[in-house]
Amino acid sequence: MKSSQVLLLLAAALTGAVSLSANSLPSDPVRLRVDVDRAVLPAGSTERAVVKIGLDCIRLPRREARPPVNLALVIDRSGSMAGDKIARAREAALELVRQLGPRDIVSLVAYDTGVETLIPAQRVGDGRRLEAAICGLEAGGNTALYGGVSRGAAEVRRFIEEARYVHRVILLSDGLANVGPSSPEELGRLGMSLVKEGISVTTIGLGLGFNEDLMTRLALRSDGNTYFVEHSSDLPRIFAAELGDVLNVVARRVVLEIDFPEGVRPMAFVGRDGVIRGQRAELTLNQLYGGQEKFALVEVELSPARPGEEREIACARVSYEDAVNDRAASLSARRNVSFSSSQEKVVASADHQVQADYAANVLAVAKDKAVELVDAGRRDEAAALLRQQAKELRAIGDTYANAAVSQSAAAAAPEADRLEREGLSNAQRKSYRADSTQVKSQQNASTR
Amino acid sequence: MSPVSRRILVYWLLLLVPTLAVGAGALLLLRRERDRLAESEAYATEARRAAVAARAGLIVENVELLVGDFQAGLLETLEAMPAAGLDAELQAWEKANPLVRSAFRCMLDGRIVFPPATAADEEARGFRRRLGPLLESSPPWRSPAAAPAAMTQGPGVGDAVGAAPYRNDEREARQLASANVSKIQSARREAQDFAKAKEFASRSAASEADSYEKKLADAPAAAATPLPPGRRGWTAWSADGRRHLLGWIERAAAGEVRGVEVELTALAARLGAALPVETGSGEGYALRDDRGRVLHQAGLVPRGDPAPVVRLPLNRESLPGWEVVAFLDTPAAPAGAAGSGLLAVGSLLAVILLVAILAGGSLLMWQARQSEAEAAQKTSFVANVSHEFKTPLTTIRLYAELLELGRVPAAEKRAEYLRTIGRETQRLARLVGNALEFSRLEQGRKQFERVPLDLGAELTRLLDTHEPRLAESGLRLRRDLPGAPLTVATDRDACEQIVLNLLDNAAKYAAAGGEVTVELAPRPGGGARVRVLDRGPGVPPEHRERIFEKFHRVDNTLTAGKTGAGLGLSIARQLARGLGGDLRHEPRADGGSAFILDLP
Repeated sequence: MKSSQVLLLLAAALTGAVSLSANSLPSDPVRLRVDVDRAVLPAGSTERAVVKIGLDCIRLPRREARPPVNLALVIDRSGSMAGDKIARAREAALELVRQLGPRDIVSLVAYDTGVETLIPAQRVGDGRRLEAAICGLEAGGNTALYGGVSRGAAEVRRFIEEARYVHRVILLSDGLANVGPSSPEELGRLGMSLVKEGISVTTIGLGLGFNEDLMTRLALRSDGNTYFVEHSSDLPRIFAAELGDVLNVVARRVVLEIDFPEGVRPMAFVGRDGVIRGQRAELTLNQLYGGQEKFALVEVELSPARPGEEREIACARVSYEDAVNDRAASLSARRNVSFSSSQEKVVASADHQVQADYAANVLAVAKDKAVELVDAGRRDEAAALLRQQAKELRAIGDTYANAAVSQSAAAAAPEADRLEREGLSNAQRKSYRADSTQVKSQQNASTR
Repeated sequence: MSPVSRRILVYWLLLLVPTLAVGAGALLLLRRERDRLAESEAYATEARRAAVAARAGLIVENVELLVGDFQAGLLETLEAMPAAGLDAELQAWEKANPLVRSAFRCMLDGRIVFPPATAADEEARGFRRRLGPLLESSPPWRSPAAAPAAMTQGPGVGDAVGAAPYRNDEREARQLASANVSKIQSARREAQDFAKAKEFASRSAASEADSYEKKLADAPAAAATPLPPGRRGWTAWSADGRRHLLGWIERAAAGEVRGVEVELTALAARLGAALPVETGSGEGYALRDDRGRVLHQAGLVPRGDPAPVVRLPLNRESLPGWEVVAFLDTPAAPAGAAGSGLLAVGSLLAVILLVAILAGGSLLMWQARQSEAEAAQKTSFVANVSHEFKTPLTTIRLYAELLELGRVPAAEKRAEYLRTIGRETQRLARLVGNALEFSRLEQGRKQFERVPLDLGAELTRLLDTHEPRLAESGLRLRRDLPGAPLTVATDRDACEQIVLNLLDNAAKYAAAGGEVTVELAPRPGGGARVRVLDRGPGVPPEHRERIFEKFHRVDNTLTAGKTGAGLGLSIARQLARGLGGDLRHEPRADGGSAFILDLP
């Protein structure tokens, strides 16, 4: 204990020295960029384009500059968790608590048939009470998942007024919710409601018994992370990854608005659940993590233009709470495209990164649909859908000589074959869902 | 019935009757105790059920207070919104308030104005799809019953709570409830704050807030003058298989209605605060929605669907079909099982006690009778011995006096008198010897001195000595002794005394038979057998063993007039057994007795 404190001090001193020597602290932790899949578009016809609004976040300059967190650990202790699972969960939770600072707020909620607040929300302090409570976790009973999340949120809510804090519920479950509301839709709505309060729910599905639809939906709707952990031995790593994200929050309550000028019609978000109202597209994120990029892809349709014309394609504006400097901030950026009748110019102007991101998201959405089709017993349609998407992407890849796109297109084809042949196993379905969700929300930390 | 037996019977009764009375009393008390136990158990269960029902009533009250607070807050916020820029504000509210699923505005006839039909986002389209037809076909503010009924937002649970049987456990229920009061209060405070909140926008000070401020500033002065409060109410509708809760405010002046659809999942998630944190053991409470699913539960809610203690519906206007159910896990054993167990164990103990008392009494009684019989035997022994001593003494005294006075002239006569005195003295000596022998045997001090002995010669000498005496009592002595010597290792005096006692016995009781036979024969396995046979009256079968008991004499009729201490045969058998042999009696063929002495 003593030696680790000394080490921590040393580390803090070192990083402090480094940051001092760097001495040019960027005032904004977030950078806003608007990219288009092609900077030059074909002239004379109605064209479709993909606009990528990227939010680049710098790494936190100093570890201790991070905003404090308000965490609720909601841990399943139903009968199915017995044995190694609960032991690993304990271990992981203990490790997580040790990583927290004394200012951070933690509550511990365990649920089985009923819900019990083992530790009400309080500052970590020396963490002894917490550790004792975590060590006392034993498994047995049913799975009141809804009640557990509700209680976890209620615990977080006690300190919701503390504006500097990052509010989050971490839910660990290995089973089907069998007490209380249990449909993915209802839990999704709960997630939507919670994110309005600034509470994200991270869901960790353990083993093969949980409902991945419910877990991914809850996480996606509340802008939390989601993980599929097949083996309980991975739990400590996942907790650490999750904490890495939570302790790296640089911006909160991020509202992204994209205004499109006349002649550019926003069609749809690719991957993310944004709202399009007329010429404006909106997207809300609960937080941004340092060192990661989050983005939104919007498909737009442009009215025909003359060759050589240059037009604005989108104007993005992001407002957020700067968690590092604890102040409100906003940024804006715009982007023009030009038109040309020369196919070579169009091809040469392609932004391979945007295309690759687009391809990944299109495939993620297609996979989600495929899962639904397989569930409905229509394997052939699911395979056809994946093949269709793969074909379209391959065309893009070939046209623009984009290796990344071609690669993901090529990977999709055998998957379609396997899907048609074997359907989806439980584990595959879970990883399909988790992967797709992670791609769509650009989750950095994942199981793989 | 002898007085002794009567006394014993009385004692017996004195012991038996109270014992039985005590047993019966114990049984009675046990039975009453069992009934009392069963009753108090039933009473306790009933009281607990009442307390549980009361707590369930309180939960209902709390849930309704919470829901009422949320509803009131939402409608207040809706009411306070300025008419100008209302759509934008509704949209912002929808985005910021976690309890608002959709905010809407529609005409008095139910046509939805906001969200507009052209709205592209999924939420707005979903709202129009779900509730548009319902609003247009039957706007709730149009139904005359809706408004007054809907106005009641306060808890309507008075009846339910009143119906729950209150006993003296009401206090307990109140105490438990008060433990939750602070929790409920904080939840309510939060509810009130929250329902009004638009914090996402205002707190983040983001563009939403800016534009909102701007719009407020731009709003015409007319918007600031408050409109008269319109009718308001709540409606719960079912659409696409789910329940939707709508609140609305009628703005008659503007010719429109503002409304809000509550995010029911989020509302339900917050109702968990109304349930108790800690419940009594075996108690369970659950909040169930209209589909019978448990939303929140506390304590022990059994699986399956056993009959609950109480089932209280929530306010019908806002959450129809929702209910609070309370369970009480009564012990699996049927009521009174403990009581009957007590009865069984108690009865068993009582019976054991009674049996012990009676057995102890019987043993004491038996011991007392035994001692009494022995005492009586000893008394008669002393009397008999004294009498036995008296007869020869009287004879000796009489003849001695005659000789002393010199009244007997004939020398022949004198010699005869002296012989008689000598004979009687011998008899007296035998009697004393018997008494001493008996005493030695009783005290276990008898020592045998075994020497090789020719039994034939010994018997011949003994019979020779006693033949005249036997002849005097009228017995002819017959001998059947082997010619050859028969030698056994035995105690001479003991042998002599046994045979003598047998002969005396014959002289005393079988004199009428006229003869006594003494036989001696070797036994096949070694040793010798002496038989003394008479032609007396014999021994009744029931006395055949008892004649060898000390002090025993065959009853008065048989031995009346015959004196005796009842020691002779007892001593003879004890001596025979002391020598390693035995003495027994058999009836003799053609009448009489046969005493058989076996010597090793």
